[in-house]
Amino acid sequence: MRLALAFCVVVGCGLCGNALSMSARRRVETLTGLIQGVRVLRVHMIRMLEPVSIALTASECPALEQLGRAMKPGDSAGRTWRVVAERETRPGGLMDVLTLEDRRALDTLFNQLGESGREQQDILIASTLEALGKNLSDAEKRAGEAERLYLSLGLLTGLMLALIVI
Amino acid sequence: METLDRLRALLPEEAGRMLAEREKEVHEVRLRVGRPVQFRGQNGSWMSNDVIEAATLKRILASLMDHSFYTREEELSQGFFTMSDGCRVGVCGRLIYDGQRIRGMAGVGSFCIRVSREKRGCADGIIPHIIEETGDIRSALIVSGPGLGKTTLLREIARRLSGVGRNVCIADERHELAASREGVPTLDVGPFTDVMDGGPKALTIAHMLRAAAPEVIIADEIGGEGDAAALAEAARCGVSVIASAHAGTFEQLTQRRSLRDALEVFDVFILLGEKPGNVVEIREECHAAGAGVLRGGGLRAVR
Repeated sequence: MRLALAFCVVVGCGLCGNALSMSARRRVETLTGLIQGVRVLRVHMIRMLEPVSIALTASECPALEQLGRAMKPGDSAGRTWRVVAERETRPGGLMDVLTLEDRRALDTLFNQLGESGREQQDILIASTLEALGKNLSDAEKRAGEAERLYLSLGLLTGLMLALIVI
Repeated sequence: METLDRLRALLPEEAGRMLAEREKEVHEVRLRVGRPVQFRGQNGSWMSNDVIEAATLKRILASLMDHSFYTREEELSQGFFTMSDGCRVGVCGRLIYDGQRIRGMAGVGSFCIRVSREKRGCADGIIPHIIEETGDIRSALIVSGPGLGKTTLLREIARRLSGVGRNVCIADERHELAASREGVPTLDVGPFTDVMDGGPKALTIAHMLRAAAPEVIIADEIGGEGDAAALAEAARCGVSVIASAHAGTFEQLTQRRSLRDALEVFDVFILLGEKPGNVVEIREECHAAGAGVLRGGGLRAVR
């Protein structure tokens, strides 16, 4: 009976540790979604020459789609982004796991999105994808480390508790 | 009128108020850096006391472009872009010229908004010259200087011909005739009208012949490269062509080299003048005269 209880404690603590690394994984997922969205945005803007709001709405990324829908006729992407980012980076928002670095890359993108010619816009999007790509690699590395760290910590705590129980 | 609503909110206070008060009269709004806002209507022009600063002009222009400059780049290299409700914004400033072609525009010093309006009934006097008693549609060319209602008249002709069951196709290079949004016309161009917009007229006409089996093709401001050949090809396919061209008189029209070959296509020539929408003269071909009909006796004035 005690052995069974000890086993449950170890597994439970391991799962808790795993859950603690969830935010790091969510950052990876959010950045992956944003990168994919910016790629689709690039096609709609640069190849199909759709206006920013329509291209954002068609980006297949929930955060960017929301930004596109929030843009009223005559509004700039930068101004709307500041409002949307303020709301969506709060706890519970679509982008609440983004770091300052991620936010900086997106601020640079949206402050200049649509405000120049096609070639400059293509360069802007390419540099944003590069910056987000770097952040994603970093996030993946950190997510892996966090996963291992919290899982190990959880299991160790579980083992300690199991010893006490036994 | 979406463009004027947006402009009203963007203009300095007094100019915005003046626009709101006389919106229905306004045909043109002109904004120049360091100058007051100028409004023009059918009975003259008036100004506000507000002076437009460079930053304000830039902000208004960016907003009218929906902060999507890259979508207007090609249009701007021709000096204008068209709003989604058909209003045309003509822009003046420093051109970027690479030695062969104008690639774009860098600094903007002024711009002019030409208001696009639907005017039901403005083609009443012209339709009998276009639709024959047998029901056949005659090809017609509407001629006038700028701002005298060619586009409004073409739109109404499209609506009327479509209204009598004809398959009408509009080659709307500058988005002014149908003001399509995502391919769907926002202005009333008739129930049986198809619109292709955004492409050069010559290519668009060839596309329409293949894709839409039109009975009538409508095109605004012909005279570009390849327009004459495309219109002639349409006519050879048995399609009637209704078009417009810039010229102050019929004589000036015949002097435009780019239009000479295109003139063979048309049976009726309509000259607008003096004030917007006013038909000054209509000439009809009275025999198969071919090229140069306007110069010789191949035409008779009917009005």
